[in-house]
Amino acid sequence: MAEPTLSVRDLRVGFRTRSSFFAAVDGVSFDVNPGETLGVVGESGSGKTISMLGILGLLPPGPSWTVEGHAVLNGRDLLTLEGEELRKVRGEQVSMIFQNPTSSLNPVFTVGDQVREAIQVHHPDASKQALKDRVLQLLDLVGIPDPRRRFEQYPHEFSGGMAQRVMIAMALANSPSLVIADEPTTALDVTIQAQILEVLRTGLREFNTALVLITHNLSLVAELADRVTVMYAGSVVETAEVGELFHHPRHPYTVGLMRSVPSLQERTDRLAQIPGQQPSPANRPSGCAFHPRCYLSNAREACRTDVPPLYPTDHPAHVAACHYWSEVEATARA
Amino acid sequence: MSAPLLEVDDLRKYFPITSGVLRRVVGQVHAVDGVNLRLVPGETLALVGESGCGKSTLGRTLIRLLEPSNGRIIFKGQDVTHVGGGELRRYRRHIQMVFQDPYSSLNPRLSARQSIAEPMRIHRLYDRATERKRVDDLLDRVGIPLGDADRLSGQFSGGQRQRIAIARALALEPEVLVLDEPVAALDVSTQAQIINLLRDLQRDLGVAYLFISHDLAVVRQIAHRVAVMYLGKVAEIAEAAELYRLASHPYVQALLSAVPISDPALRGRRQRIILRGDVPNPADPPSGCRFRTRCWKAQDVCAVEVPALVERGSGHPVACHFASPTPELIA
Repeated sequence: MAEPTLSVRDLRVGFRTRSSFFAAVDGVSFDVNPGETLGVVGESGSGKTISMLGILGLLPPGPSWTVEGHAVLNGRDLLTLEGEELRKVRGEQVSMIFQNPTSSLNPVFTVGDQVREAIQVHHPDASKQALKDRVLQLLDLVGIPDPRRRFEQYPHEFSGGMAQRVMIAMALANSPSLVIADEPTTALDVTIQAQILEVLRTGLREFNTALVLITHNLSLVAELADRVTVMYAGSVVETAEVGELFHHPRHPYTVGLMRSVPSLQERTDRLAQIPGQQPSPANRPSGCAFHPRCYLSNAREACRTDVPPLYPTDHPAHVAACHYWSEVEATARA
Repeated sequence: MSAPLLEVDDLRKYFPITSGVLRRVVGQVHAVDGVNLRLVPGETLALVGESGCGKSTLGRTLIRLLEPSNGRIIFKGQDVTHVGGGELRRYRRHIQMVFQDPYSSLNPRLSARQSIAEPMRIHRLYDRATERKRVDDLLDRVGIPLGDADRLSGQFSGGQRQRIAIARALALEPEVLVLDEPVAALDVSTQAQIINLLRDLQRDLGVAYLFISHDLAVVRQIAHRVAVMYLGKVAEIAEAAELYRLASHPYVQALLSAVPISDPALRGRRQRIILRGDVPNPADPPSGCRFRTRCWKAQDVCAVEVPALVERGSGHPVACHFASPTPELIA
């Protein structure tokens, strides 16, 4: 198999307050292969967004962050790069799409200028005409009607869906090998979501770009991802190919998450729920972080004392951080 | 069919658009534009639609947080459309609201107990001992441990805050709860907890819900009947099971087909309708049928004649000239 586009190993992202240290992301590893879509699923506070911001050096200012581990993109470890070097990689080899498109655009510049800038930064020698042609071509690719007129307009003249198309155009502007999209459709209405997913799919295919899709929405992953990584309380609990994960889950949290998704096709007598709440980084339980909410752990010693590593399972490329992963599938069918 | 608890007759809510220093009115946003609904005791009617369709405005107008521009609201046979003062307060005792964001709908400086007791005090319903017993009972019903009753509401998680908000809404023993996206801000595992709780409460207390949501999967799990709104009007209304099986308005069909399904085996095997364009500006809605600008079935008549919400052969009312339970594509 070809080298992965992005290979993340033992990523730890923490922040220090006056009195203590919190590990928001606590040892995360995953690969993204060329052209594939990896879904990263987890509830709020699982560390999925912080992981990606940590890799790209985009953590919000404020607390003093520490980022450790490795994140190798096309052969270079992003965590060893600084300043100008990192800036060159961002936008050219990897770019990011955020949840709220209208606040990601600068209100005082025209949309065309902003897309043009995204290209110009990485191609300072390109002619004005070549740049404009490229922008118009990109706006057309993401399905913005009448790109010539839209080029001159300001972000407030764009609806949420149209603005997200612009963000996709900007993310793809330099044909990056990887795009990281953080809840790209969560803020949009469902009919607009369907449009945006279609645009994203077309764009990725055009440039053979790999995608990391961060989302809380399992259904979105079921429709879009090739492989899935599930995160809980700062760690990866399971990674597998999408069909394998949905049909043969090997971690009780994944099972709980899938069961609690309300079905569109039928009314369920009672929705399965996971008891309790996800712990905050300040008070993670000992051993397996999921054990107080787990239906399998039943006060078993190992769950309370030993942090489960990502065990290989009986299926190739399917790993699960549960001491009792082999018992999970039987319970998932029940 | 039992007598309706709440009836809404041609309800309209317009917001003026003003311009210039003199705040001259230059137009109207037709947020809710002629809606008729009935809610019977103990049932859940869901109002579904995308942002800007008027579902929240309708909810707020119903409990009289907003003054209706036109139409009538009838609660148990009494016209409450424009009542004020003590009469309005009496009406509000019977119809309470739960908002989407439990972080801003609860006062973070009040304890859970105080938050729930507050409406009882305002309405001077109980003496102190009874009040305490009722709060304990409500906390128990919504699954907040009594030991946590004196913690500040700011110290609870989102799901727990929503439980407190629900307990507070139930404090006055209302007959109707208007729930405005009560689970939209919650994570999926917490969302399931709250949906189950709402179902249990309805079974035990017989309270009726007007459940406002954009999420068709959540609605399927809780609603008995569903009304889908588009640009201030009801496009289709039916028993829940029937709507999901026999949706006959093109917009409702598109909405249902756009919901992602949590099974990778079905990928690419569903017929997906992807609508063109955005929802039009509600200040300047299209003539005739409001959905026609995005509809693949639109004909000349759609621009001229507003389709009435009537039964058109699919067993329930649909506001479309070409209603049909199969979305045949006239491309």
